[in-house]
Formats: sequence, structure tokens, C-alpha cells
Amino acid sequence: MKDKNSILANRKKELFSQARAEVQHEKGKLTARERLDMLLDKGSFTELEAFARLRSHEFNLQEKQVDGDAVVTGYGTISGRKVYVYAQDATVMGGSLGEIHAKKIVHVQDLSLQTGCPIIGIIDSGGARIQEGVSSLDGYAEIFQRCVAASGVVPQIAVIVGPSAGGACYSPALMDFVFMVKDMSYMFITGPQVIKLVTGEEIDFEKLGGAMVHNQTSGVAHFAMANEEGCFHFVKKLLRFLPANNLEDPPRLAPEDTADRMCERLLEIVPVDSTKPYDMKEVIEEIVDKDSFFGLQRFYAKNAIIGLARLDGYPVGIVANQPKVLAGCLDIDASDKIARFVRFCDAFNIPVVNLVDVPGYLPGVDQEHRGIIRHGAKILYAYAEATVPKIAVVLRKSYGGAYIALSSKKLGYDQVIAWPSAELAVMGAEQAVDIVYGRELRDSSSTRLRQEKVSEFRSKFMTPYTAAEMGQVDMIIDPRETRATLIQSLAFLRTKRQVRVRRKHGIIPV
Amino acid sequence: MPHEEYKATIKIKGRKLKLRIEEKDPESIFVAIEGDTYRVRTSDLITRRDWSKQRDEDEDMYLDEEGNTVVSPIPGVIARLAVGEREDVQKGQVLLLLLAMKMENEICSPRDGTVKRIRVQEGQAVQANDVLLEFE
Repeated sequence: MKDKNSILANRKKELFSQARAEVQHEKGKLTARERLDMLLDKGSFTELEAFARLRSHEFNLQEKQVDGDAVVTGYGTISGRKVYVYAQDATVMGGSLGEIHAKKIVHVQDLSLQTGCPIIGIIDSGGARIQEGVSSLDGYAEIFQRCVAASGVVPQIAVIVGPSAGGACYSPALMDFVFMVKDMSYMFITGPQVIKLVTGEEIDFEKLGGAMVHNQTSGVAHFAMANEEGCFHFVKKLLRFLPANNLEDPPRLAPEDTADRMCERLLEIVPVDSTKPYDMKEVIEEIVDKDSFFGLQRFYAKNAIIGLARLDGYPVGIVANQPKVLAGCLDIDASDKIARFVRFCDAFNIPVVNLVDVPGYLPGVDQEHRGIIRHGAKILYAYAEATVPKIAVVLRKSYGGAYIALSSKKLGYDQVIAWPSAELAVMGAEQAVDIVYGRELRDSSSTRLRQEKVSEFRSKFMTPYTAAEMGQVDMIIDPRETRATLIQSLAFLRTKRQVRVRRKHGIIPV
Repeated sequence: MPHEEYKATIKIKGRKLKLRIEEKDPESIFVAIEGDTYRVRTSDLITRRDWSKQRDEDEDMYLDEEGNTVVSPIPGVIARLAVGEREDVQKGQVLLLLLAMKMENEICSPRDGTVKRIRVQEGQAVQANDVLLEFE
């Protein structure tokens, strides 16, 4: 047995090849195993299929066989909670994905779905292993198939710490959250060389598919990090808000803030004059449990803020307009960002709180032609479909289509709370008067009539009382009571049950 | 769970302090300093590199703005110019106020520089992507 144990020890030692580790370190990157160490609780990692090897003999591939086939898979714990993981090893054939590599990933994906545990994929791969032909493409297909099967059942997180090119991009794209590192992660369907060949455009990796391109411009990624250690720290932070699967409630932490704290600062932050901008992030931070706000997609569609936070220790999803950017209006990108987040929250039993200060959907030919109707419809769809508790707090403006999407009780909000400064209307007073009284105003020579009508319109709709008289606003509160009110409301809504008619699935406009 | 313990001596402003660090469970580490014991939650721990860059206000992360012009992000009316031609401005400084979508939107400078030409006047209507001003 002693001999056999030493053979095992040697095989195991080879898994931790120092020579290969140095290749990675020279590039300023961590190895697959170091990444897992950083992500998982100390000593908690169990590796699966460590000795699996590629079995293709095309192009003399058998000479390149290495135990593990360029991916480390298994399970471990993060803050004591079970997760499945896989980390691609770029030091073996560029981390390329072949038949067995894919099979290993698929195995942990299956286990994650069947046991209801989150899965985290650490991606650092040159893409499909060309020598294995269609087998490697089929490997991707199997992975994608399981991403979709697990979507909305267990949280799926992709950490990109190297290239993710071609078809390989779609595995992160099908997962819930994508982390990228500046000057290290790249995602693109066709690389710079092919683009140059086909269209003649010259572009480098970072500008084509770097972390900031996907965080700021394309909206593919959710987090941009300055270094890869940051990713692992943020994955842990993110997981603390999430249940292990769709049948569990998100974990409550002991609150570090008092439930009935008055939000005194809100009076300073939000100007009463609704034409004056302010930073909505300060409002969020004043309302939620101290230091609990965790923003998502911070660099993309900044006119909308989404993120997770805690209220009295319970996780909530926050959706808010940012008056500081594009007046806080909804446009195509903000619609996509909000809709996907709301569906995520709904899938994982996280209540949603809207902080509304929105002038409407962004007008313009470009938006119309690019399909603001189709994209804007996603927000309506996501909120109307969601069965988790949904609360809207109207701070100041809530106009037109954006009113419907973010604060109409008839769309399914369980509670609509308004500040005394709330304005709920189809459009601004001046525009409304011009349309409603257009002919009379043209016929009349004096401007007095217009002023009269504007002020009449103002007093009727530029307050929350008309909507409240119609029962469309449940409460009008002192802004300072926002936190206490939300905590109380959510406590009563926590047991909400809403049954839907059975169907295969709805058809969300995409 | 293996139980690990380390000892260290650190010097702060000339004063020597003895530390005893114990890894208790996946959740926490105990740090004893001169007889006082603190519990550090591992979830709050920060690993090897500098984390200061992972914050919201980190402007370095953004892609560099290309070109020498500032364009209107949204259709509206120029409410007020906050800078003049030849004036030096800093990144983040308010250049002008744009009245749009029932809001006075602050248009801020994307970078440090000198304003070469202002292409709009107060009260003028602009479309999205219209050039508002040029840098040197």
C-alpha cells in the first residue's frame, strides 16, 4: 500500500506543477488553484475528476495529455455555504476546451443544479480546442444547455480572468453575473485579427472586449475590477445576499442598524425644486442598513441604479433613477438593465424596492428607431410578472410611461409610497397645457390663460394627493420615515403568495 | 478544520505590540493584541492586493473619452453657461446647465483642459450629440 500511496502522491504533486504555475505568475496572474484558494474557505476545496485526461488522438494530442485536462473542478464552501466551482487552467494548452474538459464542467453544473447550490466558473481559456473538432463545440453546447437549465434555479457567477473568446463568451453570457478585470479579461465573438481581415478595422484586445468595454458600453458584464483578487472578494460579498437556490429565502444577517432610524439627511440630499439634480446613491445609502448597499452594473446606463442592499438585515433589490445622469430618464440601456435585475430578484425571492424620480422615457429619433418600445416593454413585463413583494417610493417625479413601469399599483406594486414632494402625472404641466388647451391658447392673445391653466394643472397633478384620492398611492410620508416605513411594509409583505396560471413560459420581448 | 496559530511582533510609532493570531473557523480569525482579543470576520478580510481601487468613485476605471469636444447627451435647451472660452477647467467641473426632461442637467467636463470654443448660447435648443464646446 505504501508504494501505491507514493504513486498517488506523485500524481497529485504533478497537479500542482510549479513550472506551470510560474508561467502564470510571470504574466501577473494567479493559477487556477490559487484562484480557488482565494475564493473558497480555507481547506474546504474538494477536487473532482482530477485525473481526467483528453482522449482524442487527432494531431498527436495524446502527447499533450495532462491530468485534469486544463480545468480544475469540484466543490467547497464560501463563508460556510456550499458552492460548486470550476477554474480553467490557462497553463495547459491555453486552457482550451475539449471533450473531457467540457465533461468535467458539465458534471459540476449537474451537481450544482441537483443539489441546489450556486456555481462559480472561473474563465481563462483560449476557446474551443481546435484539434478536437466538433467534440469541443459540442462541449460548449452541453455547458450552455445546463446554464439555461439552471437559470433561475441556482445563482450562476462567471469570473473572467483571461480570454473568453468566440462561442465561449456565451457561457458567461447565460449566467447571472459576469466579473471582469481591467487589462486581464477579454470577451469577444471574433478577435482583432479576424475583424481586421474581414472589415479592415484595427482595434486592440482591451478596446474591443476589455473589462470597461463590457461594463461601460455593451452591458455584458456586471463588475469591473482593478485586479483579480477583487473579483473573488466581490463574489463573496455578492453571495451573502443570495439564497443557495430558488426554493430558499435570501439569508438575513443580524442587522447593524436600527429599524426605526429617521433618515434626517434625506431632507438635505433631495432638493424640493424638482428641476435640481442630486445623487440618488446618497439617498439609497441613507435609507438602507448602514454600508449594506452593493451596486451592480455601476458603469452601465448610469441613469438607472440597481443593486442589492439590506433592510433590517433582510436582502432587498433596489432599483432607482439617477437624476444626475440624463435627468434619470429611462432609455433602452436602462430598461434592459432594470428588467434583467428585477427578473433575477424575482427568481431568487428577493423583494424589490423602487426609488422613483423619473421624468419619463427618453425622447428621440435614435431611441425610437433602436426600439425603445421593445426594450421599454421589458421593464413592464419584468415587474408585472414578478411575484416577490414590490414597493415603489415616489420621491419627486413619476411621469408617463415611466410612472406605469416604476410606480403604478395597477401594474402589480404591493405598495406605493409617496413623499409630499411627489408629482404623479402624464407629463409636465407646461407640455400638458399646450396639448390639452392648444387651440384655445392659440386663439387667445394673452398669456394669462396659459399661466392660469399651468398653475391649475400644477396644483392638481404636481402633488401626490390627487393620486392618493384615487387610491393609487397608499401612503404619503415624511421622507425621514422612509426607512422605517419600508421595513414595516416588507415585514408584512414577506409572506406574500401569488399563484400564476401554469404555462411553459411567458414570451418576454427581447 | 485545522486549527492554526501565529505569533508576531509589530512596531507602531516606536511602540512594540505582540500579536497572536488564531484561525478559529471558516467565519472568523481571532487577533489578540496585548491581552485584548478581537474577532475578525473572514468575510470582511481583504487579501493580498490593494483594494482601494474597487470603489464607486474610482474614476480611473472609465474608458478615456476620445476627441476634443463635449456633446449633448440629451435633447434640451442651454440654461446657463458656467465657463468661458480660454478658461482652464478640471475633470468633473460643471461646464453648463442643460434644461432637458424637466431637469437642469449639469454637463461636466470629461477631463482637465482649456476651453477653446463654446459652440452654444444660453437659451439655444440642442439635439442629442450636438457639439457644445471644444477643448484646445
